[in-house]
Amino acid sequence: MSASNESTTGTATAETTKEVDALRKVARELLESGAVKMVIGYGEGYTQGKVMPIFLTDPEEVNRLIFDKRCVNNLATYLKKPEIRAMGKVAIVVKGCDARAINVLLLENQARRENLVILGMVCEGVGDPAEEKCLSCLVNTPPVYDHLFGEKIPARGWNEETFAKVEELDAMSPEERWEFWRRHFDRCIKCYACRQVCPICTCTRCITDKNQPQWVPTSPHPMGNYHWNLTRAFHLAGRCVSCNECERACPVDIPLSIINLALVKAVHDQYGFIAGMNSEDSPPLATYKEGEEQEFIK
Amino acid sequence: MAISIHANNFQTLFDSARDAGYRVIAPVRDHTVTLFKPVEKADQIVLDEILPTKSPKEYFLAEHEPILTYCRDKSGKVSIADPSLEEVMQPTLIFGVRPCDAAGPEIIRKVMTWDCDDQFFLRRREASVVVAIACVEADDACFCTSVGQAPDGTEGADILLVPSSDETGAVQEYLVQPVTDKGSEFIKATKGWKEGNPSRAAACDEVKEKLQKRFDPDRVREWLDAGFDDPYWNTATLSCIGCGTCTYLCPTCHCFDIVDEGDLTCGSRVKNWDSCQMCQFTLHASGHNPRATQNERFRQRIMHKFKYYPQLFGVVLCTGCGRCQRSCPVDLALAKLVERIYQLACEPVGT
Repeated sequence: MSASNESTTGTATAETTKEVDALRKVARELLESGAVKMVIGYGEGYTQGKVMPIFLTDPEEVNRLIFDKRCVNNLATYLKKPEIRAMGKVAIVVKGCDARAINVLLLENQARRENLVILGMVCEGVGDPAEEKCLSCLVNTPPVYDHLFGEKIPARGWNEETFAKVEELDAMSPEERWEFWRRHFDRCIKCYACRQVCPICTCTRCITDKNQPQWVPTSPHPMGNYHWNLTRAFHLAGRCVSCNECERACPVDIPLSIINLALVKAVHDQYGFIAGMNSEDSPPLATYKEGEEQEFIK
Repeated sequence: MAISIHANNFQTLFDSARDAGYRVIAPVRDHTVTLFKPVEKADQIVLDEILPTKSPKEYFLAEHEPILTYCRDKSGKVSIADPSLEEVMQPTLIFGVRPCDAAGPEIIRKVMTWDCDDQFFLRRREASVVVAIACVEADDACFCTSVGQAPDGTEGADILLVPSSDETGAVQEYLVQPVTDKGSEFIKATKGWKEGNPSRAAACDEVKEKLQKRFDPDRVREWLDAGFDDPYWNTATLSCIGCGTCTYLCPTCHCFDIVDEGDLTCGSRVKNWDSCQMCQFTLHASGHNPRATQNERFRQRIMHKFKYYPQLFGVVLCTGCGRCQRSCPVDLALAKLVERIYQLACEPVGT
């Protein structure tokens, strides 16, 4: 045991790509000029081989920034954090899926465009093996950015595999489907990691925290777990950008992405809408148009 | 006389424990995670991982526990009933627990018997036999030796099994160390045990060598005594998203919430796990929140474990299991932060 251990904040890797070099250069300029108060990016993690979000205010630290296949986290979630909002203008490193989340935040007035410098990374997919979300990525080139690092590439796009699990569940009988989810929700411990990690869960007071009356039971019993997991999913209908952070953060690995994808598919089938592709299109579930079909209201 | 047990005899042990009235709980695979759950067959259990995903804490401090039920009849008369203690009192064998997880409930016992005796916790404790298995492996997240625990520690265990590896490193046999009288009696009352040593020496020297102490909790506490307002807290935990995973998986975190669930006529008052990392944990009815930011909430977690609990009970509220690092979605490793605090504590004054 020694008091003079090396720094525990992680060290930069020796080899970098030209995209990361360019990213560091821009980050340095932004911090040195005072254009932003902070750069949010990825750095080497505490755990060997993992990455972690880093928050740079000192231009001398920009060499800690990295970008590679391990950078799975959606950093856009920090834009809802009061401590970050209080900073004023910040720069943020994003992949395409993260940038879609920013588009949703902009659309919903949860972030101000003028307070963001978006450092977009062209991304061929993250994770080793590749994350499932990456196999159907719509945005290998981020749909919104101020600086782009890497050559633009076409998106992989949805394919027959994208909704395969949803279709598999749809093919089940209601009893089988119920059993499938009962088995998975049974593990839920109500830690709300799925909510906390989600960049789109921006409510400052979640409905499950409202207790007069208590709309969603806080107990991790079967009813409470169904209630919570379905409420969470429904509130993300037409808003979820399929970054799959909820499933990644879940300590008991509930396959939340299947529920999310079912809703993504439903919203697309009904309204031709995909969340986060831009920050202008009206979200179908929060928009009323005169002359809309009304027959479903009895 | 030495006692040993062969893995082939776990089924005999489980069957005889069931015959003696015990339910058997052990780590089993569920989807992609490993959880302590009731088991039938010994070949279901998973003993080759560093640690199961969740600790067996829930078998002492239930995730969800009704503590009373109430009902109002048509005349308006309200009746209140205690919950059945049948499940709470059920004899339970908790098998295959790592020493850090076994120590957890023993540390929590101090608060559970502090100003009043938590009967749910104590009766569960009384009704359970914990069979721990010493570690032969550790990963970078493990730090039990820094908080006074050991890979072959016996705290909270009734029986400790020390693995004996064959020439390929595979573990089939275990040296059996009865730790408590309850453990000795359990061995007498059940089958599968064998007199004599395992065929090869049982030890976990290698892993002990690997698990060097990373900090001194006394020096950490001294720094925390004066460090509440230190600028360290402003930046160290900015990446925390307040998900609470670390608290829920922790073998020593024990905070719970009490809520009433039901309709206008009948319902129950229940105890549910809660987390200091949730923003509403300290939210007052007035709207004021004394821990308004996540940095303050993370500071509280470290303060509670390394300052308040040691001050009150003389023991660190942490067993070094490392789940808080392994399962953190943003790799914010608590032990690394405490290591840093230790470094700050060791720096000469004025630097």
